Amino acid sequence: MPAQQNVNPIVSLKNDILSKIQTAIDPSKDKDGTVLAEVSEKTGQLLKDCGVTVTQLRKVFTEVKRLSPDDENYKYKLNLLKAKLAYTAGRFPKIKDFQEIVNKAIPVALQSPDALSRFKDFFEGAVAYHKYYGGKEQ
Amino acid sequence: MIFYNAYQPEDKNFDYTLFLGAILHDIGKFYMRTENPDAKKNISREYEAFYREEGKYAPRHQEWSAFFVEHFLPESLKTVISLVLYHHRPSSYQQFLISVADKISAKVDRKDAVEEETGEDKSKYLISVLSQISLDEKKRNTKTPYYKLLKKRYEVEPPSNSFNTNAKEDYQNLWTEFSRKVNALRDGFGSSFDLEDFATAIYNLLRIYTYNIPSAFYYSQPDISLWAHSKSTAAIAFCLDRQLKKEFSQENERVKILEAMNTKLLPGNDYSIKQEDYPYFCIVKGDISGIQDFVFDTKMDGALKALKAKSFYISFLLDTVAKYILKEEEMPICNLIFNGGGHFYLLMPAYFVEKLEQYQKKIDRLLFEAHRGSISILLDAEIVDLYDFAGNFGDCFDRVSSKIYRKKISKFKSVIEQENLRFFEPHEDYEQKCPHCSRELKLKQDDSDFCEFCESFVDFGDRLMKSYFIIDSWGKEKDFSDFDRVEDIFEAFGRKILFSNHYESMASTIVIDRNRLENLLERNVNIEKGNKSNKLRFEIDFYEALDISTHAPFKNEVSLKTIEEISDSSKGIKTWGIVRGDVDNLGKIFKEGLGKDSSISRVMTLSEEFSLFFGYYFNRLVSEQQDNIVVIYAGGDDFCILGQWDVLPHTAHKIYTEFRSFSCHNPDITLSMGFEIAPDKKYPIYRVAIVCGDHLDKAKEYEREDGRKKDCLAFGGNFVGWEDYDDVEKLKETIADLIGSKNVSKALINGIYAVCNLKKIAQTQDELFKSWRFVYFMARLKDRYKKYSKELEDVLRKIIDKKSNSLYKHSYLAARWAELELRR
Repeated sequence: MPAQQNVNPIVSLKNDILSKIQTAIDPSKDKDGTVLAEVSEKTGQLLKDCGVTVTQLRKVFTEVKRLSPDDENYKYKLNLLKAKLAYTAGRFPKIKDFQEIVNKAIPVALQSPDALSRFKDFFEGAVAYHKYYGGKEQ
Repeated sequence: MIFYNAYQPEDKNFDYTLFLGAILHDIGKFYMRTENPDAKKNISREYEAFYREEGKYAPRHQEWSAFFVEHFLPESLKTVISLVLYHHRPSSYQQFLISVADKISAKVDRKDAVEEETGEDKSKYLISVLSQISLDEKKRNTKTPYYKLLKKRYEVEPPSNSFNTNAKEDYQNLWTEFSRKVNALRDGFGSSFDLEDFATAIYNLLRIYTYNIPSAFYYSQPDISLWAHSKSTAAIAFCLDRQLKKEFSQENERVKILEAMNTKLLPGNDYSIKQEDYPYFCIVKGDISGIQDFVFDTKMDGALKALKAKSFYISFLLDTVAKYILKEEEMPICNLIFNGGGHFYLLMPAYFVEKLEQYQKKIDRLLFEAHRGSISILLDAEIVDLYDFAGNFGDCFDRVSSKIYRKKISKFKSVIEQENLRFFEPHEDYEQKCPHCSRELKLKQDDSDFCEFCESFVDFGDRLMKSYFIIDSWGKEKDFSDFDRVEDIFEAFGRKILFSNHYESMASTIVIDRNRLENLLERNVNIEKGNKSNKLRFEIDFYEALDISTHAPFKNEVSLKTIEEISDSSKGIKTWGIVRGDVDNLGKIFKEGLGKDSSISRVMTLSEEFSLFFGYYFNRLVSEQQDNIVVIYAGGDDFCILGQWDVLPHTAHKIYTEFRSFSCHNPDITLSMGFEIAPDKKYPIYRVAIVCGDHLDKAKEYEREDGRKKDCLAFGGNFVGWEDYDDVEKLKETIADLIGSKNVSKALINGIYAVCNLKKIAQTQDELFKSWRFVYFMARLKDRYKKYSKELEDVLRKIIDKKSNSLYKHSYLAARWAELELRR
């Protein structure tokens, strides 16, 4: 089968995000938060372009907001989040690209409480920019 | 006036002849540049013997000057002809005085023109001295010259970085107007006015018409005005005369000294000029202190009138002291080098240093009686020699200023000594005292809260703002046991003043607000004569005009607007504001800005340029805005305006923009301001003015990321580099328009405040700036107001820079500014 000649813009955007997401979540690599801000914005745009709705994001986002660096079980809950996201993506295939990004971010978030805070900021930013780029409620 | 002792019995003919000879010695330069063929033919014929004798084939500027004196001046002034004709080949004492003074004045004015300028491409237009100021010596040679237009002093236009190669027509136009007025003076002399009037009018005409003409252009860069050169020549000539007469009783001895000086001043003899050579001069500085406390200590009733009166009083008091010294020492007005911004400089003969103390004592006594210590004027002097004139004149200002500064420590020293330490005792112990000046409160029918003297400032201010002229006369000092009115202070120095809307003699009439008078004349309003007037119709250019801004808004023909009325006209919050500003690095500009070219002429020109902008032109700028703004004071190098708060930022920016154009966009000449809004319209002016001044001081400490400092507007404690002002204003307007005109929720402003707070938290707690929260907020607002989605997007893009995840540094200010405009 011949190689795909025209790259899908969504795929291109996703790949760009995937190349930067681990840096964005790592406080030691992105000290001033500019990469995080960039990745958040692009993820928000991706969510909109994929047709993801606010309703579909809400449950996952609610879980993320509950995560706390002070909770000794936050690592367990992060892994649990991974499973919940997989379930949601199974129901709403449009979320699969976002799932891929989050899955790549979680190993970094597991490394330290500061990284977890970054992870939460990333999520909040992505939701904000999803709204900004015109993501629909449902 | 020229001589403030003009009507005393001494024979003044020598002085008038010397004055006119010096001030007109180079008038031929102006005349010959008209290239008038008829004039050239006549001058060639009449003065052929003079120029051919020296091997020349055409009349030179001295012949043109002599022709002017012969034909344009009254017959009785024929003796002036020889003074201008021979100022390059002197033989008599007066001729030598002018010749030496001319050389001293021009000593460092000659600079080789850059190689690119050759032949017909030489500029006959004056290079603006402001374009030549450099605070970094390494970059001095990179300064681009800007050229002033060949116009009258008061026809202010921004200089240009190019010039017309054919200047003849401009010179002809200017000369035609100038000579027509001189002719009118000649025709009226004797029958309508006297010699003092004539000299006054000539002086004022020269100031106006030669201000933008270069003194020389062929062998030099044309950066010295003919006016500055002529004035400084006259000032130097009188110092030489007075000092030499003090030291030598015989005229031939004085001539010998002048001959020796002339030799030393010849080109090529620069090496022979050393420090302390011919120390015949001194620079005198008068500096007033206590201005802020005095001016702004005023009650609300009649506040504007009192403010205006006090501000004017400060300037006029300094003017009075300076002229009083000239009067007592029999020196002409041209020796007042500069007066403005709370200080004056006089060029005086060296002997004056020894007399300084007696003047200080008199001033101290009078001002203490008047103001009980709240206002003082300090004098000091520094000897000036030929070496200083040869290229270090700027240092003289610095030296005398340093002495004044040290002297401030011992204010009222002489009063303390005279009063045998009574200064430290309770001076007066009245049951009722004026809260301003501690004078005894006399019982009055109107049950006033202030003494008669302080109340008189309100009346003084009222008359000041309603009058066109001050009728000024000088005589004996009048003794007062105490002062009841403002005018009494001036009379204590021998100056009697009357406010009037009728003009009188040219020597005695001062135009208060030239801009206002020009506007009246344009509308063909008849300016009436007073009883003692000459027969000439009113010609504004014959009269001295104060370089003090006095603009104030009128409610109608006879009533000034009150602060409350000004406040009620404001958009949004009903209150007033103050803007104060001054030139950045002024001391450094005068001390270092001219580098090795720090001649008396250039220093004078620099001073007069600032004075022109902050005096006459500032007044015009503010009045043209047609906003409710009062000029509290402006002159020298600074200003203070009070007005409708919402128009003040715009006016401040207009002033800034005009100043930068006026200053040739020289990055070394900038202007910082403070702007403060009164919390409510009844708030004490004093407090707002003080806070405004404090913020202005902090604006002087403002530093950008690249290290550049000042050039800043302190907007209610928010420091905005002027380069950012347009952005802030634009953002404010967008916000105000969205909410005020398009009915977008005021939550927009709160949202901006919130994101500013997020930024603050991020900075203080070393966290990430969560800019996306504002993005979310704006997204919701855009959903709600879809019609204005683009405008809201513009706000978002301005406030948040996504690439750097940063907040626009003036977001809070823009939102706050909009909120104040929208408040009902």
